[in-house]
Amino acid sequence: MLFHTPAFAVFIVTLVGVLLIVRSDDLRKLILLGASYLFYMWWNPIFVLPLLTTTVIDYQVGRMLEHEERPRRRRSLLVFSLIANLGLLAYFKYYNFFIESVSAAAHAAGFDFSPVLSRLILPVGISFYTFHTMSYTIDVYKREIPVCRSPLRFALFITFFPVLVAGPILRARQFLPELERPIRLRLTPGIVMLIVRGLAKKVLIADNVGGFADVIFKHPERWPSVIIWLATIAFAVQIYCDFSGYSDIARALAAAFGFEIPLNFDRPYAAHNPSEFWRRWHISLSTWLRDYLYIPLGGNRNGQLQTYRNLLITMLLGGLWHGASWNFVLWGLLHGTMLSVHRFWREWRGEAKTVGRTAQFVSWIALQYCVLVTWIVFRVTDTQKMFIALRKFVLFDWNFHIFNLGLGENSFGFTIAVLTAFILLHYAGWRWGELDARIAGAPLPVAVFACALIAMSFVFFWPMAEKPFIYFQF
Amino acid sequence: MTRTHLAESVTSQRLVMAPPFRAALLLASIASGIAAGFLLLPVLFRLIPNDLARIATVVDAMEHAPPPAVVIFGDSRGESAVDAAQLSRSLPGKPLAYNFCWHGQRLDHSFVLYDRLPHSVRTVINLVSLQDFSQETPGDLRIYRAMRAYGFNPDAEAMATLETGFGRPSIASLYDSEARIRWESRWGVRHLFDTGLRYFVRHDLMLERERRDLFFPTAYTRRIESAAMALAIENYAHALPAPSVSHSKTILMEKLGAWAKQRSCRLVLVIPAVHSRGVVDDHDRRVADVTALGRSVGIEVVDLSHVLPDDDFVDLEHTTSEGARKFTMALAQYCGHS
Repeated sequence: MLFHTPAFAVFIVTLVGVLLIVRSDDLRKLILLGASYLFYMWWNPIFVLPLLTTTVIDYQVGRMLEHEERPRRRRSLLVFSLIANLGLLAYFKYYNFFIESVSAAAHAAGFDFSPVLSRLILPVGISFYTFHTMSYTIDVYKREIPVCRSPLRFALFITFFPVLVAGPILRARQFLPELERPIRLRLTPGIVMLIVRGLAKKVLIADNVGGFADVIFKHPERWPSVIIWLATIAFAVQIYCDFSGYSDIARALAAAFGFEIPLNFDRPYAAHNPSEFWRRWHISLSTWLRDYLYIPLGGNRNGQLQTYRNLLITMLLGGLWHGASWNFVLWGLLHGTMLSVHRFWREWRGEAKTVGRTAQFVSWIALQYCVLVTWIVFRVTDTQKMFIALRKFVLFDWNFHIFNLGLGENSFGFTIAVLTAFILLHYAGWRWGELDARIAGAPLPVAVFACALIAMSFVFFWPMAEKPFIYFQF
Repeated sequence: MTRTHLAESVTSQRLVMAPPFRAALLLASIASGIAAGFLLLPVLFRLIPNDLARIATVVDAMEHAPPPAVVIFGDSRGESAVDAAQLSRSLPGKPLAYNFCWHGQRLDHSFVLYDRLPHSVRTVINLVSLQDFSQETPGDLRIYRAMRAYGFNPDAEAMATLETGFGRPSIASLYDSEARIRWESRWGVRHLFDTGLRYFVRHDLMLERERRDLFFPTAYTRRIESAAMALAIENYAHALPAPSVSHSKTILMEKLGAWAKQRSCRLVLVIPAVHSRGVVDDHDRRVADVTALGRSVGIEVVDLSHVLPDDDFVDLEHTTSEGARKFTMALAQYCGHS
């Protein structure tokens, strides 16, 4: 059930209607939990089994940790939970990747090794809810948060439908206290406009430019460098708008139930260096990796070389979190390398007190160039085609014969128009404040007119084919 | 605090402070905007120039233009290669001829028009590429939707034939509701940007002529640059599916043969001219197969793929004005003498 489908509209209206009738907060939360399971099972009812397994195991481990004082036993409980969670993730997400990689290596070494591959499909959002539960168990183990005694609240923390399948990754210390509060249904201009903003990002921008990137990256060998550049920019915009659009809608829906969930994106393409980029991109994942992987590995406490190693390991695993494929591993490694190089540069040159406009601009350009290169690695899973696209992107061929594109079929002009609109709106939002917030607070006639115009643009520019959110696959 | 955080806090404040009726008003304005957009779609679809706008001209001409004796069907190759006025002048008796080709028209698209042709029509010339003959699937479904958006609804009998040939799922859009047709026509609005860009990069584009001209609706006249031509040649798909004529196209040819016999009409399927680097693999065998099938169902098939030198093409498939003059001459010679 996608946020931008009629099925979801019916679902949310029905859910709100039922919640309005019910007065008991526990019953409301139970209904919200049931609705979350229904939302999740819409893809495939069988998917609920690993979700329930994770929920039961971590709830029980949490309760046992509450009464357990012996350090070894506490550690055993934590290890059990981690093995169970990561085991499920490994089996569903990485088993085939591992087996295929081993098989390919064996073939390369001259051995005949053809093991049976799993035919199970990847449960939607498993990477997200696994990280939800792991944050809980680790924090309880470290006694940083109290144990959640209510199975209802715990299950709702894991299963809360707005964030279940594509984040933001909720931390127990953030969201469990929210669930202590009663559900307060709210409909405000801010919520309405945040949903509109999220939908516009997803439907009007991401899906409309994504089709172009799909066509070009299917056969990068057929296109000149200028088109590869355009497709790469299109994909960069697509993945940002797709994912941040989802996060916006998730935040708005949570707010409509009276809960607050953290910001997941903060204008990542305005970043000037890799560290800043990761403070702005998929914030819930980068902070999770920082707190539960990078810092436990030693962080920056054990000298430069160890720091670079920790950065590389963290980003490599962060890449692998996205998907069971070598291109994600390479993507993570590239970002780890960028972070390490940036850290080395900073240590070598020292922290500049003031940075001139030119230096800022150069560093911004350099970062965006590197980020675009990594998006090619992320997007093109076929290794041969990936290198063709990378070659054409890096070694520009100065071929501008774009009229040979079969223009109408690839929506070349429309893609350029949407990208231009995105850049202008993005700049305007940075310069004068978010458009949705401005409309929500504008004089009523202006707000009403703006909403009607936006709604009309939804009708005119709704994509011709429905696309799921990119991060559902992770 | 960054601007984003400011914006976020503004949003958060609104979540708490703003009165619900304001939110309800915004929702109502969104709903009315959607309704207004939906109402406007058909108007915009007809107003905005797009690749399929010519369909409206053809549909209108079939009912309101002076009745022709000869019509030509086909895709953009037919638009660029056949001057119906020259053809008319070259044929005995100078019969009125119309060029009913449009961008992306396939045999199945033209097929649904046959039954609606004026009874004055004595000869139908249909340009069909070897690629089209071998395709099992129907042509671009947007074209069917555009036909309906421009007011043309195929007959039940034609739809039944398409269903037999392609299978119901492949042509499901033929049965779309009026609301769905209206919704799908938003394609035309987004096309505005593509058309604008084409005007910018192709100064020779004559979209209005392509849209309106019933005789020679060629859209481009300038030859593409050699580098672009080289790229086009490199990417050209020379290999086609195994059967020269797919099952679905066989059914269409049988029906067309029966139609021609019933209407006592001459039906000529023409394999259009193509650049020497755009000739498909097994060309001669494929032509022989199509010709044999045509003979068995009472349809003439003529191969005019080699009548033009490479200099008469603007790209691999579309002719220059001089190429069009020569191709029309060859077509007239065939129709006039055979």
